Amino acid sequence: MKLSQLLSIGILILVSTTTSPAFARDANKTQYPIVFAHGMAGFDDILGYDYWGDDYGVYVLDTCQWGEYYCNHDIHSGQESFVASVTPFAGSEQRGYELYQDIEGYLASSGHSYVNIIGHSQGGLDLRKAAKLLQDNRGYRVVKYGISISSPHRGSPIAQYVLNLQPGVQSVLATLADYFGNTIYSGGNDAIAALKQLVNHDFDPNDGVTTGTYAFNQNYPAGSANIERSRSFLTGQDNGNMNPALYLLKELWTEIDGDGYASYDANGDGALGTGDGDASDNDDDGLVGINSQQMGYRLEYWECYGCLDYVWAQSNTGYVGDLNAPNQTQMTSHAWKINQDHLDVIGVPPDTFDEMEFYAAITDFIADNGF
Amino acid sequence: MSEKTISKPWVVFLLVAIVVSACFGLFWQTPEQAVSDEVHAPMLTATAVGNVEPTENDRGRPELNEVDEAQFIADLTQKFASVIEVKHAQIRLLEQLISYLKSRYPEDWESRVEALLAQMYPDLAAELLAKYQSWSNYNAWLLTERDVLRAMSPAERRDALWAKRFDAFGADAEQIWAAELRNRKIEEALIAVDEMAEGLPEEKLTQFVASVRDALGDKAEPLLATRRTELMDRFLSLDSVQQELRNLPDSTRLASLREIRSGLGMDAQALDRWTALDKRRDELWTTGSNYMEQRQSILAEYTGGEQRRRLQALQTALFAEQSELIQREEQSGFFRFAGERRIGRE
Repeated sequence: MKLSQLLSIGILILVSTTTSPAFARDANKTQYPIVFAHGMAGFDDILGYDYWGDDYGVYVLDTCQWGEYYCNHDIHSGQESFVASVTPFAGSEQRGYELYQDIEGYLASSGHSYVNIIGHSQGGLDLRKAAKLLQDNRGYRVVKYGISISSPHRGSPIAQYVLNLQPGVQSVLATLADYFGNTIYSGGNDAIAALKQLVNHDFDPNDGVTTGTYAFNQNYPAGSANIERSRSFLTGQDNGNMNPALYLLKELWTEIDGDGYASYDANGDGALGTGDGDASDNDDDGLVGINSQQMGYRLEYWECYGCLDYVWAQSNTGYVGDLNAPNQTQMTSHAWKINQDHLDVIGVPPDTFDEMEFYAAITDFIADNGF
Repeated sequence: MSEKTISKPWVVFLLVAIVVSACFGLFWQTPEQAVSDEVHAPMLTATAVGNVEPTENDRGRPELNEVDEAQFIADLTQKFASVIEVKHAQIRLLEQLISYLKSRYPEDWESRVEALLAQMYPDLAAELLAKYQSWSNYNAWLLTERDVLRAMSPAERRDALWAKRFDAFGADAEQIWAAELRNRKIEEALIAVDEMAEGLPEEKLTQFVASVRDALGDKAEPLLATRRTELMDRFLSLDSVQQELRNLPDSTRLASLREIRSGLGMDAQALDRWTALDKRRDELWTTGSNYMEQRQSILAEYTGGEQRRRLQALQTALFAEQSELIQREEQSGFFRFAGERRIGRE
């Protein structure tokens, strides 16, 4: 056999055994596990799979064992993750503390020293407090990526609307039970505290406590002190495509005008900023205006038809480190907003949003950037 | 031009060496390689300054050209080819197809579904189209019945949803929502052990794990291996388990917790980490209970500035660097040591 032929065969064997088919890009495995932090309500189903799942109950980071079908085929079979469960209705001081405790437990179980946290809705606030407690108690920065999705970092007008018993709301408890189920009546829940948390200012200056996102943001900032990389996804959608539960809010109650700039709650709706005069321009996701959602850098989500989706960090709207003082662009720009409502990105049907690919793409993004 | 020839033993040796090194390269990586291989672009090394940190925009990014429809259809067909008989996969395929069509043809996307299904899977086109119609009907029902569903209890709502699923999809509903059914079985196993009249926590855990194995068969072990901490958290959250654990003396409780975790398959190292965490938490809660008692006395005996000063001094004495955090929590209305401790979880 000739040397050149032999080397050709050898190279062919090497190439064919050490590369993957180009069309089969799967999410890479993250170096540190991913912790999921759910939003308000969020945990009345077993293990949170139905929250962090597709619309049929398959957990979004369920790894595939040999021959298994009901799992996420787009992720690495060794991907590690943990689903935290905190009190469904409570302020983020409490929920963040509970999230911290859950993560400490997971670190004990797994032997890991670092985590990435993905928080949906109020979970995006909770993760900031958990990151602070982890840093304080372990003496190092435990949280690598802290990613919020649809989070009301600067308040949600719906929270104040319900607390004020505005038209359509007879009772705070009954209203929350209507929308989130009877979990609200379970022991340990505090609906009022949960809603006060999501109003920007201190909702009741005479109740003896200081609540709201403004105070919380001062105590638990984004930035790199406790979270190595703070990132956020923004969601917003027009009424026609809104989840029925959220559409009802718009039908009966109020339509959020959530893309105007102000350094204070200029329109008095309970969220920092104001509107631009047009409430129907996809400037909210049914519960949160886009001017409330950016933390750190924005993330772009690109839905790839026929291949695994992509996520990138985008810096052209700048970095929101001081969550109480975003600039005009950060409060008004629709750039990189995902055209989905507040509930599409979790397992609440009906929608055609592909939760499995979305979270696989986030996993891939985190892995590709070293964490 | 002459070329050298190689003797047969050398050929065999070289080929074996190449194959062995290829396999070695395929299955073995240093930890450093495992990380660097996953990073498509240079890792972020700059240190964040103040509130601003650099971003990671150098990640490899493909050209996002207009979607080539023929390529999309080919990719989607291939992606689902091996699982297309699974009913849940059929629904996922439909959702991805609809999502694409809605984005590309917002005006007339519905009219294109049938033709594309026929193009993708000619032999299954009729079944897939029927599935699409069932899916549409089911989702339309969710919309029209939203008020009725919201007014139901969770159990009533679950029954109503399943009735409609069977109505829309027939027996296929059980395949489409197979994961939800699996989750439900775990929930039922938890409810059953919570309702057991008697039994130590570790005995209940044994029963719970046995129920999960019975219910899930060969799917049980992967679940127990990968979701161990979540299962433990849910088990420890049961009222009856908490009650039993509260009744145990400290040392017995630590042993019981260790046995529970061992029963879920944790290894010796994990059990030791947990025991250390349990002890730290026990100490903190002893301090916390002490704090709440002294706090109550201060509130009863003092008012105004003196009360504030004494409370602050107590917090500093007991919690040191954490005292500011405790103060902030209390200002927001949260008292972490006021309620009943969730043993094994805090």
